[in-house]
Amino acid sequence: MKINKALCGLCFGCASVCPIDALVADDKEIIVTAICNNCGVCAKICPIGAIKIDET
Amino acid sequence: MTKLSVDIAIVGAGPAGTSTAIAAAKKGVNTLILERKTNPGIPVQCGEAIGKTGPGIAEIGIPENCIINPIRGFRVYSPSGIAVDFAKDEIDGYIIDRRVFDKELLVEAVEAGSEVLVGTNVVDLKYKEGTVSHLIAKKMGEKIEINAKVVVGADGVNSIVAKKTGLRKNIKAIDLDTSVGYEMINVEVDDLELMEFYTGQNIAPRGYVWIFPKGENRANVGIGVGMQDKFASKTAYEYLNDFIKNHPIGSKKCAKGKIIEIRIGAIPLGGPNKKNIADGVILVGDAAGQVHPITGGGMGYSIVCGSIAGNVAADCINEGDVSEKKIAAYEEQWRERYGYEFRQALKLRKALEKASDKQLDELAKILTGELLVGISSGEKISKKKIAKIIIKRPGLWKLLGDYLLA
Repeated sequence: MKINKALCGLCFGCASVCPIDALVADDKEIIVTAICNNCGVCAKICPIGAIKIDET
Repeated sequence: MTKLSVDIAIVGAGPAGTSTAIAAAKKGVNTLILERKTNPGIPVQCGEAIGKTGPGIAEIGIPENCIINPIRGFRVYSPSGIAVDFAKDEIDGYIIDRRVFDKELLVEAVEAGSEVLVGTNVVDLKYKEGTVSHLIAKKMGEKIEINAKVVVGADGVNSIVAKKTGLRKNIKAIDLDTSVGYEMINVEVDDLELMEFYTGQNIAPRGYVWIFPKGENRANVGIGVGMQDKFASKTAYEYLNDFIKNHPIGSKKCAKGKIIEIRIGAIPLGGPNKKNIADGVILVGDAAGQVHPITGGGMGYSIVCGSIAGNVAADCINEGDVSEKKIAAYEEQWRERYGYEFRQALKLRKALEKASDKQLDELAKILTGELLVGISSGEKISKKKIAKIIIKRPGLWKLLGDYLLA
């Protein structure tokens, strides 16, 4: 998955719901770590549609 | 590497953290706040409404310079536009400026004797003999280590302290509301002293749109909705834009509106965590789930619970025992105060989630503002009164009967 940083408002909702802690809050951005399995739950709670899941 | 040692380390300088710090510092314990942001309180992620009497904010006091507009009550619009009003004779709350509010509470904490490190992101917790002993943080990029007798997680919806201690691993997506808010100029409001709420499955599924007046022609217009697929069929942003463009009432009010700020937020609505304490650890605010499951309001609860947390933590430190057993006084005191209200509101919200627009309209015809306030807080008399009215209406009874009888 990818986070569009131009849209992201740093609400950290995505990181809070990630079942495997793949999203890490850094100082000024959310980092998608290598363990992300593209499950897509984060995209469903992004208020602004900043998260896109990779097409398989 | 810089190493610090304090009595109480508070992660997060929002209202939960600063009110904890104010209480603790006033009791004379060595208090440190760690705040990820370089500018605490910014960006604002909030509708900025706070009750005066509701969750007991009156005893804390709201800094006067953050008050933008006094409020006496609210108006809820049902899906077809039926209004339910509630207004007190006297001021019952405020629309505040969160930037000023958060900053003033931080000033108060520091003036009470607390230390603060801004631009300091807590990334890990270290354990020693089963209890938390150190926080690892990055202060403007530099690694620092903080030893603390008590760690307070006031670090919000994505609380690192909650995750690393296991008190809340992650939030279930169905328990999170997702929110976008605009501050707007040239918005018409019904009444400067009323907050407006708009409901409906196509307007704000599992949530509502709010218009909070900030003055003549100035308002916060925002929305909270449940997760997509389960509740919503598009993003909160799209629902809000739809409301402004197409809602029969909202579109007229916002027709000339100019957006001067966009706010993006996440609201934990699933109720408090099962446990908000461990040996030397306390969670408070959004990290603890101290948010009203229907209104999504959290500031008032955070401040009162923060004060309890600060007082209990300081007492434990002063008495040389920070074990979970001793810290349990915090859990007991805040649950005594809000536990019942949160449990009731959570049950009611789960029932209301299933309500059709028709049922919401029917409810709006029956309910007065007083009953609506009563039922949302689980007040027994209101529940009884409503039960009497809707027992003759099978559809509504099926929706709410269990809640009203419980």
